[in-house]
Amino acid sequence: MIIVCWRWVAPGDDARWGGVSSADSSALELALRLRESQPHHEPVHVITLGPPGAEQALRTALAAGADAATRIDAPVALQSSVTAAAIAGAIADLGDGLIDGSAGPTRLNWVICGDYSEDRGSGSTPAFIAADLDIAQALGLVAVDIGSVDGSDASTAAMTLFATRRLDGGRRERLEISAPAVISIEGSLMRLRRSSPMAELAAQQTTIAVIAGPNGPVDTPQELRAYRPRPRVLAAPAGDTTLDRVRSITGADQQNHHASETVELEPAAAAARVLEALRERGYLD
Amino acid sequence: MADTTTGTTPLSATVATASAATFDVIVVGAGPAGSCAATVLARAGHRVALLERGAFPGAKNMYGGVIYPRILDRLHPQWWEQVPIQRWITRRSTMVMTETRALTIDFRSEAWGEPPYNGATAYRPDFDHWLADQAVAAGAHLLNATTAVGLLRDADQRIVGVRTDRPDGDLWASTVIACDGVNSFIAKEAGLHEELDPANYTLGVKETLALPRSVIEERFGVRDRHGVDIEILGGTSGVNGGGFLYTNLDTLAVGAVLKLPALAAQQTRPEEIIGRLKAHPAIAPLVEGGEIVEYSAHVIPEAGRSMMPTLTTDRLLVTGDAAAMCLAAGIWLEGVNFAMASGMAAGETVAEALASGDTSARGLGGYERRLRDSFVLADHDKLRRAPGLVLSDRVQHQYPEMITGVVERMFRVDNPEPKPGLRRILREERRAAGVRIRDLARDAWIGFRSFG
Repeated sequence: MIIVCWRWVAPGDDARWGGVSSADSSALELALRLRESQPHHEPVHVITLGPPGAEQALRTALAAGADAATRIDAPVALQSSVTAAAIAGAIADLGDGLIDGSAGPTRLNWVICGDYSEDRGSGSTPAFIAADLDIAQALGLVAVDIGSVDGSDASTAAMTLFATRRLDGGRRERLEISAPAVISIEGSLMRLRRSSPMAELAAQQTTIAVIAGPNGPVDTPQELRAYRPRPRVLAAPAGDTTLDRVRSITGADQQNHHASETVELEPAAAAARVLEALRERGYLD
Repeated sequence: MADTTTGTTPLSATVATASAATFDVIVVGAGPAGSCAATVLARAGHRVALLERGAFPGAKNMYGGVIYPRILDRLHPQWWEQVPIQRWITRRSTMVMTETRALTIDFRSEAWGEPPYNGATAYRPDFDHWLADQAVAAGAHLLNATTAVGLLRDADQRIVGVRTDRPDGDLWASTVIACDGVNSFIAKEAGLHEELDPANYTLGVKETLALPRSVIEERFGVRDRHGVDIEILGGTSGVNGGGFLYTNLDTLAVGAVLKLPALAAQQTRPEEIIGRLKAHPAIAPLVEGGEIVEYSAHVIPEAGRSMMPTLTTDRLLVTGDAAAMCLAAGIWLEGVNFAMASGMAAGETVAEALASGDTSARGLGGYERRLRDSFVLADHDKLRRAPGLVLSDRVQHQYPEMITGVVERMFRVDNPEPKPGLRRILREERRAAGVRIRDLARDAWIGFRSFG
């Protein structure tokens, strides 16, 4: 089974404008392609958390080809760990032996999430889901080699997936991911297919499972502010002429005394050196 | 059918055979006309598909005006208890404006603030969504985010459905109702429109300004959910058209309707025209401090009866703005009610035609008859020459100068000069504005014939 987790968000709590991120849409498309790459039918189940208005998004998922959908009736603004626990609980409730593999062909293989949500949260929910389910995680994938899935014998074969993960500084990491695992992917990976009109109408009639979810605690909204570095007291620039003072203030013709420095130290000493350097350069008091 | 060799899908197609029709009727566009048509047909027990290209009905709407929903009495009795409106209009002001002067005729009726009401400002994403919900409740199948890109025809070139932009998106039906707005691709493809003339269209541009509810009520002298509708002759920086200012609950809609060729000739950007209107001494104190939360523009079919397409052909009807049913007659500026009425008439006609098994142009002939028997074509026929008169250079430029000049002289005290007689003022101001008696008499006659 493939689980797709969607974070549904409605700006201003107006469900008509609600939806999911392109990364979430991409997650469903990946699930559908993974299903199609297999000789057997591996069910795709979409789960989201939110008010009844969120069901319209789930119907879009059903129309696109998902086999089933569940809505966890809970506030959208729950803390990531609480959201993840609710989703993990819903997954566990889908069947005995789903997660430990004893359910055979219907065992859980992949939990696929978008790498970011429409409201640009912390992106931590997938990691919490993996922790709650006690399975592997591979987050922030920018490429997935669908052809690498080995699932010819659903009941016995170890399913693996090769993927590329984004690292800081533009670096990439190639991963071999064994099922079961939670993966999150970027929105640019693929675009969710459009459904036919008749599939859309059929989805409107499909029953969506609704399970009760937690009421809190909710995330405290963070106030967004522009970055303001703390002020530093600077001495008046030296120099008799304007040009000299400009040179002094910009350091245009001086050697950069803050050049990068490479040191080899024990961790504690390295941390102390970092703090010292930050103080020297005025970033810490 | 998708062209598998090129990977492209033609926008319209001739299909070998129409397989069993998916629906009895396809209504293209879930605006006021489409939702009313779909409601009537669904209630009559027909399978109706209601196509909406936006994420939901009204999602793509740019309207900012007054809706007169009394036509809904038949379709949704007690509609005022449910319809999502902003304010019931109880003050109607007509303003004649020049650069430095403004004459306002202000009328207030408390009766318009009670059932069955008269007109209301509304956000169309709310209003259209509600109206479409009524169609869905009646049994219509609403397909959001679905654009009809063309008509499907059988080997005999009969219309048998529409092609949508979705995969496997062909939908078959024995009748199509085009409610796809001013730029109706369906009506154009069916060849119902004559050659389009830009002079028949105006560009409506609008800013939505946020202000606290209490400020709006204080400035406009209204309470509760009562609101004000100000229609302005002049104030459009010399471009033929008109201005408007409407009160919503905590926003104002201010803007202008501009004749396309005049706008193009003047080379002025529409937002500049709104900016100057907002800066006019008669308007500035009303909009001061408003934060722009939306700017939008849309083409309006302004020429009324003279630009209407053929309304009916075999298996196809055209309604609402797609049929240019917007009424722009100066003192009467309406459109949504005409769209709803034409949609209802289309729905009733198609239901009748389906019952008799004849959806040819002849079988659908009752549509135009219904419209003629109602205000839709009766008003348009009567006011056939009004849009031309209202947008003429004399009404737009010379008469506002003359009228405001007369009123200024009437109320100006020029002591020690004695008061001039009204006839002298009229004569002098008429001459100053360059109005010839012959033209004045002709326009008065057209106005009398239209509005009288």
